[in-house]
Amino acid sequence: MPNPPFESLRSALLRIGVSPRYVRRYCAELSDHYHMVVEENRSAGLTPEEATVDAYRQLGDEETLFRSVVQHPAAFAFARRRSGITFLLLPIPALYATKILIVLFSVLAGLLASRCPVFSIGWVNLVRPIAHLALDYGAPLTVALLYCILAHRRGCRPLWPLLSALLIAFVAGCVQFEMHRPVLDVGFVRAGVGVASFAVTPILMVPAFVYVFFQAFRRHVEAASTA
Amino acid sequence: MSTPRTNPSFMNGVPELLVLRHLSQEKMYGYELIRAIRRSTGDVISLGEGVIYPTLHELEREGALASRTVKVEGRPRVYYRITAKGRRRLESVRTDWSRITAAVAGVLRGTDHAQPAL
Repeated sequence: MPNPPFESLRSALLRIGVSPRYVRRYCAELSDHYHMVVEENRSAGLTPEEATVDAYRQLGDEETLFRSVVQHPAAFAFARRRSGITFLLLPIPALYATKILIVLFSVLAGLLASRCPVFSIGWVNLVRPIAHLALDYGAPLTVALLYCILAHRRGCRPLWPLLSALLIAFVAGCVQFEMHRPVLDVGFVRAGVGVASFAVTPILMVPAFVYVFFQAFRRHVEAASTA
Repeated sequence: MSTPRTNPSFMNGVPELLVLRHLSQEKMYGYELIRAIRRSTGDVISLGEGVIYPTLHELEREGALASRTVKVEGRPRVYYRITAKGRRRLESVRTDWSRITAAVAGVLRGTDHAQPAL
């Protein structure tokens, strides 16, 4: 017998990648339905115990409720329905969006540091190497990590986040964006795109490590829920 | 209070037809709809009641139904109503259903025009 508000059904649906919004709505509707049937049964003279047992029987067992959702492909989350787009196309804009955020944050940090008397010139000069480190390694690692989490939460096949990690590592390691600040006597910003040296190995190793870690974590969660 | 579940192999497309038909008369929420279906079919058709919701969601996604959520006694309650697209779909499903039931009825009566092709 399921427990209101259908906790085990909710977690089973989320585990196989049904959209969280869909699950929320479905469980809310089932819960409302359940309460209505219980109220009707109570007013018909049933005991509270009989009223709840009959309400669950009328709604259908959890297996039936579960199957009635999973046979509708539209119920699944976007990452499950369109795994190719999610894991092979979207990581690239996600990577560059992260890089742009890092650049903006670095510029802001540099400006603030240069105007604040608390920070010496040594601190200001630190912003640039930290920003480079964040752009070259922080951004790809963050995006790869987020894709691992997404795959885990949406119940996607393990191959997808691995492909994402490889793609992110390849793009991050091989394509380099350069932007130079304005020089006083020239007075313009110079920007360009180029092929970088193949510095992908460390970037590749860390997402792979993150991925293995998440797989182990996933198995641990599944073993705990089975127990 | 208990009614036997309807044989699922006979039920393909029936929930959709019944849902559209009932919602073409007035807007309803899931529980109300189930009760209306039971009443109008004389308890002959009884599904696992939770099964109706994915059908409603699918019809809504396809634009045949529209929904509105209202808070009742602290619980969200979703009211469904049929759209113009839903009415067109109801007509189409109703026509298909009439054709199929007439053909099957003909076969069961053993009339000449509905002899199965050998």
